[in-house]
Amino acid sequence: MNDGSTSTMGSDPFTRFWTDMMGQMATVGLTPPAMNPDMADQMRKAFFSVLSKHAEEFMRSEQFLAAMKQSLDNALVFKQQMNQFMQQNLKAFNMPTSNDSDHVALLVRGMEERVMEKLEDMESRMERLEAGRNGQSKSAPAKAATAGKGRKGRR
Amino acid sequence: MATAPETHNPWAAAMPGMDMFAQPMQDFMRKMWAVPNIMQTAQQVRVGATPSRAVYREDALRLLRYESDVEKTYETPLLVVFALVNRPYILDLRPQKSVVRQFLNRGFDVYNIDWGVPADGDRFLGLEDYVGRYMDHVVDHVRERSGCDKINILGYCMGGSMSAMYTALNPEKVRNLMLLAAPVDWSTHDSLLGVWCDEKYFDVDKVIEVYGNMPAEWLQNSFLLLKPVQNLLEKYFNFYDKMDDQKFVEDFMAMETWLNDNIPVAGETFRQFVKYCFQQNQLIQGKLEIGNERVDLGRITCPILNLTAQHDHLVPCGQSMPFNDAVGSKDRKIINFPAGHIGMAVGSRAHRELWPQACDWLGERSDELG
Repeated sequence: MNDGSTSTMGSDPFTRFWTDMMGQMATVGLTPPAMNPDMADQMRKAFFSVLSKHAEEFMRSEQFLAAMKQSLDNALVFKQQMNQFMQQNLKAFNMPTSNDSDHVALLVRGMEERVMEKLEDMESRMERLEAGRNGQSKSAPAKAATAGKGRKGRR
Repeated sequence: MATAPETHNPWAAAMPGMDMFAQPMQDFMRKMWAVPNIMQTAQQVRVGATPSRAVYREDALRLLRYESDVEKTYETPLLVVFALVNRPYILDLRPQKSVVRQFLNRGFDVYNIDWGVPADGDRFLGLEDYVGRYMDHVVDHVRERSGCDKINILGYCMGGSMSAMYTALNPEKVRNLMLLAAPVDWSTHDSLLGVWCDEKYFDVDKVIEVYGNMPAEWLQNSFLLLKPVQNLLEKYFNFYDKMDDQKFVEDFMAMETWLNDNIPVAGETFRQFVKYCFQQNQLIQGKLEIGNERVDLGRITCPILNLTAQHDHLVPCGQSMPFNDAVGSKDRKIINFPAGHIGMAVGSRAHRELWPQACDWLGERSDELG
């Protein structure tokens, strides 16, 4: 995210942040002779703007991302251990666990899918039958006309 | 705002330098007087400005139909599809800032999907359920109610991606498609969210295996951290500046109510969305499969209006704009508006300039009554 506007690359982050902020304040006219009653507001805006930019830069850095991954992994391990502990306790008391409810949910879902598939299958068979019947009734007059010519024609 | 009364302070007359302190002190006292009013406003805050009625329910989902005194002009109804991570009333937050009202006032019949809060047992619901089943049932219901073969869809954020997927799978049911800050191409990492979701740092399979559904608090904190200075500092300084302005306080409280009203996302849907969209970018490449069907954006041939936000930190324009090149439609338009992700829905300027344009666009492409 660094646009190269800071000329102090390589210096410590605080110096870069400070140089950026002072630079931005100068661009909005906060040099001493141009001070006005809104000075505090403008200083605050400049401060937040630079702080925002550096915060985003930091949150994209490898250092932050690695720390985020580490804390996420730790949180997952902790939560997993808690889940296991709760499950063992619930089992000991003959209570249903979240695994049991997941199992039931999956069974219901599986059954629902099978029923829906069957229904769809039945629907398509019905449609085919109806289409066949409609086709038969539509072609019935034609067949009736050819009926006199013998059964062979109908076959 | 009323200007502060002139100071008749004997100390100020005696010591001119005291003015420097008198004015901020007066401001501070005026703001402190406003505190009880702020507390009252916070308790009485109302969100969801337009009366609505649930006309269809399926599991946790509710389909809301908005009521209005304005006579209907258009036969083709509009279905609003919002993301799964927040409540849908952001599009109808306050009477003066309601996208829903914009369309109602133009004579559209407006519906909105409230996905509801997934329970622990809903962790197995995937995109095939949300897009292939729920959305399809809702669209069929709206079609049946309105007597129209095709309806208009407006998808916001993740709801926009889902609407694009749905339209690609069912092009015969969609008359016009409007996307609002909707990501479809995750190849760029302009957004911080894209960086954080990189598979190198974020093992979504593990998270869902352990947590089941994606917890609302996680989502909320992630969104807050995308702009930490704005969300955790600047916002409150601005609030202090304007805390004696009743209208500002009402809007602020309504927005805070919505921002803090996150809901969990069904685990499997979250996993699929992060894995197949954020990490593998399958949608724009035509590789995404929902159920057993491949989602081919090229199958979309209806008119497209793609509304993108220039200052969007969540869904940068680069994630939305490629949609118009991927579809098979000839009638397609992009409006890149100078606003942020939420500002597109609740910003005063958006309601003055953007939404009237969007209503015109939709009106020209919808069937009129009679």
